[in-house]
Amino acid sequence: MRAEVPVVLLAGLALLVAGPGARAQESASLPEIDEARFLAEQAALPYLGGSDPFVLRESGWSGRLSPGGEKLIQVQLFRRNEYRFWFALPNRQAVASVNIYNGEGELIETETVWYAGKHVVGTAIRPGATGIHYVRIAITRKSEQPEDWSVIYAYR
Amino acid sequence: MKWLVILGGVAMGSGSVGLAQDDPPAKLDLQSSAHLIVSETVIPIPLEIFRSLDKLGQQDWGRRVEKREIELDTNRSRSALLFGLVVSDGFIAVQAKDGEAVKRIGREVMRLARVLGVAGTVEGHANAIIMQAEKGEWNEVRLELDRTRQTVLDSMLSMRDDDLASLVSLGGWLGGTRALAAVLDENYSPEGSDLLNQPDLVRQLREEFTTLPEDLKEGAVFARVGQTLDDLESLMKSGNTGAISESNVREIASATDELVVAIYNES
Repeated sequence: MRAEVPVVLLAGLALLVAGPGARAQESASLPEIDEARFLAEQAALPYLGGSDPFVLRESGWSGRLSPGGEKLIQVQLFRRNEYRFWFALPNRQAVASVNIYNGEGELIETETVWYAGKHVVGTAIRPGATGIHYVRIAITRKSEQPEDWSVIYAYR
Repeated sequence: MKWLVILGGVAMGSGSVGLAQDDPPAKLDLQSSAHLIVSETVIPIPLEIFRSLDKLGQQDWGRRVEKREIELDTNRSRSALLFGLVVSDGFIAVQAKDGEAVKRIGREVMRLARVLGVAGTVEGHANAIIMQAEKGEWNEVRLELDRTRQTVLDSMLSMRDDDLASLVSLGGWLGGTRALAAVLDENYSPEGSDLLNQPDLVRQLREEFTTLPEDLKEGAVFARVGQTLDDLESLMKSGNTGAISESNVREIASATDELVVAIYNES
């Protein structure tokens, strides 16, 4: 099976390899990069290839979040599928937290993976039932001002 | 240098694993206004749902690919609904690996994009859909369809056409649900029927639809959209097992099919 790595993601990867200086130089001719979304996609990248890849949705969520604050994202999940979510903050000093709740608001125990510090975090779930679930995101510490954030997800 | 460190750590998937986080509450009080719920709704694409159904056994998706003549008019709201429907037809054609249907749908996507004023942003995707369908690169076609859908939504939001974007999403959901319900109706199983357990999602769609300006809901078909969403919300409520009854699946299949036909035929 052909690996499914979005071209846009690979282009962004090349930009990062070139370093921040190159980003600034190229900014006049390239579209502005959503850094939070980009970091989330970087974390997702290893899961999008191989023999049983996850499929990354183009849609996602983003916004600004105050330190100590939390938000809930409603998302319809389907039993028998497996989902991965990634939550990213550009501030490398921040600590990102993500949890998943079922439609009744009950916490589902999931494994959490932090990437490159703790400002990018991922989690996975195989829903026990089809229906609305809640993804809770929070900044837990080391942030003094509101942060841009991005959440993306993939399924298989 | 920091960028390279991040790149290495993330790209190699070398995350650290743990269970402890910020001591999240064991139970959310979903009625509490203290919880800030993100307003954006991400609608599941048909393939996300079909993936789950196929795990119960291969389905004959080819029977769900339909060739329809689209007569366009000046009603942009209907065109937005049609755009969503056509993209969902594309996902069904991908599932059925029907190259001719995908190519035809790629051309329809372009035609609708022109009517909606987003042709410039969609053209590359539409061409890629057609090219990849010729090569039988189904994963690429699927990705391009999702990108097309998202590009149109982003373009509409940037043009402050949020309301039309809602109708594109609604059309896409409707098309996928119609196909899903038809498959389940033909080959009912309680286990598969739980995929139609979507009353909360339907409620969100209905609430968005209800708040659209009245001038965007002109035409008989839009009254029908509101009524059908009302009906679907109650039909999609499941019992304790999560399953939807066979009779409800049949009604869902019938209601969504009639609405889709009405949208295609109204001009």
